[in-house]
Amino acid sequence: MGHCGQFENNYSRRDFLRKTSLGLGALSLASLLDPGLLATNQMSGTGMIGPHFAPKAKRMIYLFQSGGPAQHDLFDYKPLLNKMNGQEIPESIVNGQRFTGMTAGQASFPLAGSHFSFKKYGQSGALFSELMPHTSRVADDLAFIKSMHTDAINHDPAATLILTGSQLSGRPSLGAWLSYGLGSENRNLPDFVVLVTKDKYGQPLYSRLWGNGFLPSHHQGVQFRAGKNPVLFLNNPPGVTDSNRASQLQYLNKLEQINLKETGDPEIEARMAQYEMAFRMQTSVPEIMSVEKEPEYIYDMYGPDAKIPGTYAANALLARRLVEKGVRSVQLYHQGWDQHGNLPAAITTQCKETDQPTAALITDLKQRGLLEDTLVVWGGEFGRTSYTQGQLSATNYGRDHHPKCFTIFMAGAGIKAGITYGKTDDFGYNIIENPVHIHDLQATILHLMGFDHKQLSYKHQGRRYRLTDQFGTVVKDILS
Amino acid sequence: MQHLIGHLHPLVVHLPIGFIILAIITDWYGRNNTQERFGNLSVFLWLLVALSSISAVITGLVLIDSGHYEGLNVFIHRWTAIGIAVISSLIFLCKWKSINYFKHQEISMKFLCVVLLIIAGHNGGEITHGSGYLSLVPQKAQPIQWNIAHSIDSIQLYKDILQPVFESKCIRCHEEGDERGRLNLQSQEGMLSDVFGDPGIMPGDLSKSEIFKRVTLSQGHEKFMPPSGPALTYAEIRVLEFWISEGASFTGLLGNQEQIPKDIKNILTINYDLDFEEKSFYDRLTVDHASEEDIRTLQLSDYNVKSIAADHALLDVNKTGLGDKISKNQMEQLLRIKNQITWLDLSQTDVTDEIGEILLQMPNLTKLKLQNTDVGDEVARNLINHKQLKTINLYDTKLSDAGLLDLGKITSLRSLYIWQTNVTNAAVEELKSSRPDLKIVGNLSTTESVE
Repeated sequence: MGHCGQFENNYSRRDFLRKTSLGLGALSLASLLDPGLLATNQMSGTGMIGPHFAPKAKRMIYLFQSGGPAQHDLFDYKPLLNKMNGQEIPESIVNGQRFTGMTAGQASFPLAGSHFSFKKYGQSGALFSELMPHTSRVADDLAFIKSMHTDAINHDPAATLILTGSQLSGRPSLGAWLSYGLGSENRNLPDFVVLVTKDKYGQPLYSRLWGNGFLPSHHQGVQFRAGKNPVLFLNNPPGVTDSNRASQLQYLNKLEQINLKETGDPEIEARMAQYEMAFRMQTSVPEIMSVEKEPEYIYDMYGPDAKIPGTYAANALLARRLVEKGVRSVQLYHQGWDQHGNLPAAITTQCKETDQPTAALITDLKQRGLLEDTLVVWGGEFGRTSYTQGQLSATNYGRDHHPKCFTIFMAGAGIKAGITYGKTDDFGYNIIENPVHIHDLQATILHLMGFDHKQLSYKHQGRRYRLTDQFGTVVKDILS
Repeated sequence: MQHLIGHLHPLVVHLPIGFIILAIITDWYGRNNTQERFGNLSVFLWLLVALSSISAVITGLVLIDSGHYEGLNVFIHRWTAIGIAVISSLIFLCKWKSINYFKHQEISMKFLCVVLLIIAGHNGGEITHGSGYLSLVPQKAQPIQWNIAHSIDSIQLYKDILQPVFESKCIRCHEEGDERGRLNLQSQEGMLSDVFGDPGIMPGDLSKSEIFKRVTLSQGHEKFMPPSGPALTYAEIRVLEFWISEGASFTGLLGNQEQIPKDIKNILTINYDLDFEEKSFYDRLTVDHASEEDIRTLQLSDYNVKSIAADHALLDVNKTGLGDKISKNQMEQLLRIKNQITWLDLSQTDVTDEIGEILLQMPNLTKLKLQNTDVGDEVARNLINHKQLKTINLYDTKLSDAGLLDLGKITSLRSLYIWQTNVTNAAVEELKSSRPDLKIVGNLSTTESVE
């Protein structure tokens, strides 16, 4: 660089192109003279945008039920389906809706009434099937949206849409947006942690569902796994002690400083910050994962699975521990809700695995005062049909994907507890009141976290992107 | 082609204006100059005037021919413009041929030319920009001077919004002493009393409210009100309609209306600058920003300090991820930003009861989290008179019944977390009955289902 050192600056290739393509006039003298101006911009590792207004929620736990839980067997009670069990779904209700390739070839579409009985719970009188004996106890803490609808009819695009705002992959996930917008609360832990139930099969999960898209890479979700290595490649290799690692990092830091001086690449600083974060996580992650200190009554609350690492119950407990330590968003993934056939048996298993831990998590957050500023969301990527897939027998039925309506529930910060929003028709096929699109849900979540979803954007490839793309309306009626 | 020529009129029409002024100024400047060259210049300038005015007239006539322009203004504009073209051509001819007669009439012809120019120009302006354009002053929405800033609660629909409308559009005829149509709009009784059968205002019934009927008649109708002057605007009529159908209260506050229709909100927002957006508690507080230096100092003493929202003065302070040690000195550091702290989280630290006296000095503290610490009743005693606290989390502390009762005296308090403390169920029940507005959350793990 030598004599032209006065123009040295922390420009990445993309920045260089962006600035110079606007002509030299756009290269502001201020940023040339004060590298700090750009540096703060790029090193958003610490720099955050901050909420647009005082947020109701500081943290979010998203309990993602992958595969699409059957709303008619859990919450959206439709006695007409039992009455008309086996009869053909009227054409006026289907109204030309496309079917998936899995049922399009079916000669008939008989309605399938739920095999499970429903009751009203709590003062709010929310409806639950017998599959949810525990969650029904916290009915008055929940707000149901029975009129969710989505654009996609298959898992991959539907999950990508609800978790990243677009059916096409490549956009930042909800948790990444929150990390980008809110910044970190605990410098020893990632902003966004992902917990996937172990040994569940079904629709595949991809890391892009918690990816950073085009946001800086430290905003991506970090998956904590059950077992010896919760975060892959975090632990020192055998034979390397902590002090070895510390001095190694120190020396690496020195070298990187030289490198930074030479090339001025801001990614070097980002990388160094991440090395140091990883080093701190070597202490903080084992601490948070060591659930043995939890008292017995807490295990009792979360249920028999709670002591088996990697189960939904253990992950729910871990989620509470993570938000307690200031992690911004925790996302649980539980596969296996894709019940095209053999639904009664399969959904019973799913509920046994998830019902008690979900209820326990909400109760546990509540008694610790955390529910007041933590938002909890439960739901899948779409719903299931009211007609059967495959043969309808006295003991068995299946349900296909249904994007036109499904049920989710929310609880906690800023949510009007004990309400049910939206309505579907008697066949549980179409929405007849207050539809809520995926982008509306996302806008509402961002609103609760203190953001105007129209303002939270990131410029990439020449235009500003939002989680809600060009759409989304905050569902004010479910806010407290 | 015809359109193009017509549309060139606004361009061409400005040429004669400039040339006439230039020619007259040049003639005046050279009034004592007898050089031939100067005379030629004058002739040339008047040639330009004549040619440009003729072009303006031709393009203008073509434009009129398009059929979009009619009326008196156009008539005047056309003939005055033709007048200019004729007179200026005459001036040019006389000057060119040095006709002697002209010398005597020169001044008056030029004067006539200028007068016609002013008339034609003014009429052109009226045609293009609308009548009265010259004296038009852009009108802005006149915000009402509210007693309480940004609060719709204190607005009286009648007094603040409708009465001024009546005063400007109706009262010059329907006032006390000049009660035309027997209607007096200056008194409430006058409005409610009968006018030829129906009263001026019949609360709750639009079809029997004579005033509403009259102002919504077709404007050509002989009974339309007001008979002269500007009619009531759509916005004014809509507010009047809302006011009558809601019972026509002369003192009712807008804030007491249960449901204000969306279009009324829009009208009031656009015309009166009213803000219907609900302001959160945090936006209503006015606090100075903490200094950069104070925030930096706090951060250096191991606190996370952040604004609760971008550019907000109120601060969110916690020690998450920054160790569980907190010294007396560190506690006192908080006083540097005591006015700005609104959320304070010192949970899972070794904070002691000494924090109580410090908390008392934080007037805008709304959320206090001290769970998983060793604090106890002492803190509660210090907080009795706090005015803003909404949430206190003291689960897993040494709080006991005495402390609970003290916390119950904080009138602003809405939620209190006391799981795993020494508080007894009896004390909780007692407080619950005296403070139904306070949510007390204790042990939930064993709660039986409500079925």
